[in-house]
Amino acid sequence: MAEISFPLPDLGEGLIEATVLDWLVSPGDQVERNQPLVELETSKSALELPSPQAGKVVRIHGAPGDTINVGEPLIVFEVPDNTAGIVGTVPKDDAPKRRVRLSAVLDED
Amino acid sequence: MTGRHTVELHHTVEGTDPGLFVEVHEPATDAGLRPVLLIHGFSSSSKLNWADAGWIARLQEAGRRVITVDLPGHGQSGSPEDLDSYSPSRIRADLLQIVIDSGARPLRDGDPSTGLDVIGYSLGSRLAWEFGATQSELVHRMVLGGPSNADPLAAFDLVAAQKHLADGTPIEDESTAGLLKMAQLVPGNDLFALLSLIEAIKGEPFDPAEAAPHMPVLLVAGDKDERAVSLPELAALAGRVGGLAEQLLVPGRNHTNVVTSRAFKDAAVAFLGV
Repeated sequence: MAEISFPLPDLGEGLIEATVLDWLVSPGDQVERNQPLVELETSKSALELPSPQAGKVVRIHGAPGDTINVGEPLIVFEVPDNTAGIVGTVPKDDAPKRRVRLSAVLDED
Repeated sequence: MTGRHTVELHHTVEGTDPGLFVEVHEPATDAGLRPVLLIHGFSSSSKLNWADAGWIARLQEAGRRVITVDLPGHGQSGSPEDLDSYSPSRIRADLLQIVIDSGARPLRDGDPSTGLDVIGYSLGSRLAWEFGATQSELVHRMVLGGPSNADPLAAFDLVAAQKHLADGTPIEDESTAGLLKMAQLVPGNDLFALLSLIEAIKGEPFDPAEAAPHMPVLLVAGDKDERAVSLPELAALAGRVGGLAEQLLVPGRNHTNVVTSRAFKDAAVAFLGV
């Protein structure tokens, strides 16, 4: 087994820190990718941070009320050795982009 | 995977297209219950108020079909030039057209797929209160978060805000200064459009006593939200017309951060899941 640490990701739009409202997982929990990990409050709004990956939670950083800077450690997962090299990013659930086929359709005539 | 699609507003209300951005979020497994309309707060958006805060995923998990709408001048909606597009009555008419176009049907006894549930937050709760009061044949139940029985937006000092934006003159009224600061914090906010919305709201200030919803309503606020005092008063107004209002105070939360609270979401999902 190996450990992967995830820092507080860039929350966008010039936000440099966030305050922990409540952890939704505890050390020892097995979490799925995209499962909400923690409730955070920024100067703009409150949000839930989804898990960047599946794994067992080893450590969490910051108690409710604590402020964490972007880039500082937030959570550590234990994962099987062969996946430890894959560094995750927070998944973005963007709307699918419209695809345009540029190649000519040859089989129509 | 769960689906999401945008909906074109096919029917204009009052002959003009307000350019509202609508999305319908399908659950992976449909519970067979009526759709849920989410109405966000002032200076927020469907993304900030509902998606990022985890509401859409939570409702989809519960098997609910979710309709989100960005209010005029907010999120991905357009910023119409005409003041009328921002009036609460016009917005309610547009919301009605949107939910009908998105498949909501009038309530029929014994058919849980008919009707519409509504969740509002802050200004969205004001709009929902009025929407529910006038749409008793459509709306089944409502959850109103951070509601107010007064109207903080109608009390906004527009002249002071405009002066401040023009030359930096400090704003005396604390509530006005706070609301403007909040509006400026969200990059991409169209301040002209938000001030138009405030101007239109001043023309139609919220009066919860004028018409109260008859259907069951769950009122929710953080116990550190100064608007929490509104809950018993709104509940009494609903009770006067025979409506049933439940109240939930979420410990330790304020007007900004109650939005992500588990207690709020769990209570809302349970209240609407009947």
